[in-house]
Amino acid sequence: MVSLSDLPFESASWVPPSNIRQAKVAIISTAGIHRSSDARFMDGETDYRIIPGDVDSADLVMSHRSVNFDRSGFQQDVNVVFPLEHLRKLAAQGEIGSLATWHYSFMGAANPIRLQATGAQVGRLLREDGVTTALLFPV
Amino acid sequence: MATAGISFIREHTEQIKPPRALWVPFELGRPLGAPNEPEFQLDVLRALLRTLEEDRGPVLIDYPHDAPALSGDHEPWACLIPAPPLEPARSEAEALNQRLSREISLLRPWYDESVKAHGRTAVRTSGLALAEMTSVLAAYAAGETPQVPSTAVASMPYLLRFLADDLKAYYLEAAVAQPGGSSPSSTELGRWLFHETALGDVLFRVLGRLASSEDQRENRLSGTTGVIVPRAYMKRPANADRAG
Repeated sequence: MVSLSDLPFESASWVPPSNIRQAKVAIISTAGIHRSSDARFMDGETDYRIIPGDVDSADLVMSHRSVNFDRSGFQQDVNVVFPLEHLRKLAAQGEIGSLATWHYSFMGAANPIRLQATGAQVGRLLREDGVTTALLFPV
Repeated sequence: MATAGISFIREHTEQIKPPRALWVPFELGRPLGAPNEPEFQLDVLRALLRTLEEDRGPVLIDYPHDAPALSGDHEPWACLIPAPPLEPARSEAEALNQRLSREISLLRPWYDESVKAHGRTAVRTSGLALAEMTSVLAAYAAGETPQVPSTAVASMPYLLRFLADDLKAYYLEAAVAQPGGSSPSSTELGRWLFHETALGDVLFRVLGRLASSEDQRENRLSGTTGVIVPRAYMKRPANADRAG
């Protein structure tokens, strides 16, 4: 396992936020969720799955390795883990600007140092999608 | 790009110092608090978005409300399933499979009700049909080398966790949909699933085989960082192996 003290957290950068009413918002989940047709998350995997912004929530499944968090909530209601439907509502009401074209999912039970490379890839994809605000939801 | 995230473990977030975090007093696995509580979930989401209004950081704000309680002051929740007699089995694997199949059949009306109510199911990770799942899992639990259908998403032993995930999801979706006066908490569901059902018994047998295996790949799937039984339910009550 990697200790928190081994990781270079001092360099966390501060980006001034844009007005949230004009923000383009993406979800980053570490719940190991994906579309049912996507490859499952395998042990130790640090790659990510792409979740289209128009995904049907009913198509989302979870293949996270860990059994040590509650899944009964997700089984009853996707929004307790991945609140895309709520963000659609907030966008429709003008509380946020718009939603990203793509959202992303990782499996949290993975080596955080090796996650840096795929995290950087997702950062680039988000920027190219015009995302100004990324919301992170762990499990 | 600005970021803001949910924090479950305040001490970790204090050390990591992400730009903006909302610490929540919720159970792991439920970052928005509780299922089927849209107004509460929206309140959490708006609190997270408000961290983006701060003009300097790192921002670490505590969400002030506990998740809505699932179980109020009522009788303890129980999932009731009968146990009609079974035909004599020719092998241990067949006996385990019969017990699993009987439970699955008895839970089927509630599972179907759940799928109808939510329009979805999480029972879709292994690539196998329910009868195939129970057959493979029972054979493995009985010490045999199961035949794995070609539709499986992974090979053995890695397939085991997807089989366990699918069957656990089936049971939990069914249990929550059973009519009754209360909604079960995740602890009530976990105790029932792992300590009172035939599936729980089979999963502990699988765990025992993984733990005693000389194959490192199998060993890694067992234990407290394993993929079959959560840490919280590892200790079984004395009579749990007679479940189902």
